[in-house]
Amino acid sequence: MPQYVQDRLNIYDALLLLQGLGNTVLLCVAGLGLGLVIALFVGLARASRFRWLSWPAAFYIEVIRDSPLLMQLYLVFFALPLMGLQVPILVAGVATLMVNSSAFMAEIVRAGIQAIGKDQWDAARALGMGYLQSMRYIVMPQAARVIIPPGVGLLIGLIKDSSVVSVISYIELTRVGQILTEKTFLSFQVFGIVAALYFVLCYPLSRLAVSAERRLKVSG
Amino acid sequence: MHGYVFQFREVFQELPMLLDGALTTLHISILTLLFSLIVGTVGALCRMSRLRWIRVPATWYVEVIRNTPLLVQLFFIYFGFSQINIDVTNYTAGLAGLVLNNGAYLTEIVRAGIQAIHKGQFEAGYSLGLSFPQLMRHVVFPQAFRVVYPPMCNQLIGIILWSSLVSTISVQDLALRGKEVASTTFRSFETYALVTLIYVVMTLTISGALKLIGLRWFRRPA
Repeated sequence: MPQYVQDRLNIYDALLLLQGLGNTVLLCVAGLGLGLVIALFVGLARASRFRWLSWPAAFYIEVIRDSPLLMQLYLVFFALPLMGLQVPILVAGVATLMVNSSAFMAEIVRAGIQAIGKDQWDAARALGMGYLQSMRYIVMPQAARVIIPPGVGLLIGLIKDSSVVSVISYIELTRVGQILTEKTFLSFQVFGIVAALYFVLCYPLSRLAVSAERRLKVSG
Repeated sequence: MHGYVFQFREVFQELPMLLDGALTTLHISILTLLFSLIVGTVGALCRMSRLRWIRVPATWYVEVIRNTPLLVQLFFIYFGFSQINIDVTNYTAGLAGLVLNNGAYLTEIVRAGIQAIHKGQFEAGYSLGLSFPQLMRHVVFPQAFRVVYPPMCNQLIGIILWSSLVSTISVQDLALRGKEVASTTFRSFETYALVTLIYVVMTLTISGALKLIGLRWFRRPA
């Protein structure tokens, strides 16, 4: 690194960048983990035969997929205090990513469930299994092969999208970039480093998504 | 809701301002799509080139852009321009960031479109004595466009939604107008609910219209 960059960016800044990276990972893991739980319910409801289940689920998915993440973040950020909840910004960030990713994940879950043929359900029933048992032991293990590749893609998207949480001043990677830019005025270098850190997180995952798609391809 | 009373009246009074912002959002989104199509077409041709020194940089452009956040790319361009003393408006910087980002996605979309065309079409074109540009212009692109059209429409919807990020570099789009209205009316939740609704209506209308246009004119031959 050139000397003038070293003079203005020191070891503490590097530590701050690492802390930001850690917080970005925290946001994404928490957001996706909680989002997955909601997505399972919404996805099952969406694939349901009953309209009173599938329509609200479809509405939930559509509204979230057709509105900007930034607006969802503002809505959650301002709605939580209205509900009398004084929570740290981390919670607002995680809640937003949870809601956002759940809608996209629900569609992936639905596609996975619907990819499993009706004969599998029939076979499970013939073995005397109920709905939950068939789902748990027959459908989900097979659906997972359809769900995993786009799921990894979703995680990559979430890592990138979590940068939006910087606008409510949560100290994640992008916010650290802004702080260091304000301090050093080295915007090219700072955001270059920030972009490189995101790349290090995302690039292996996108290779993984490509190879998972090839390996888990359902034959026939 | 903790005794909170929703009041939409003041927010509705600012509707003209929000719609003005929505116009800016549409404006920047359509320009982004047009420029990204150009970048994407050039990018796709480069990615499929036989020459390594053309193919490799194009591949890295796509990989780097697709594996880093749009917000960071916007900041990189916006603050970077000012660091090297290039004077551009916020709108231009925002547009440049969006084009840089979407150009990479369009590259992949256009590439898939060109690759979907049967090898026989290229051979037939060459055997008629067409040059490479003629072949592209008269044989490949008209057919590829039908393949490209549906994902391109999805991309436009994505552009409209993600263009909200240019509000962070002070482009007066719908999101920034919303922020202004929220701070003047002190009705943040109501304002953002209305702004979100405008975004949803806008994207649903446009994706519906594009689908009809696609069915009418750009249907893929069976």
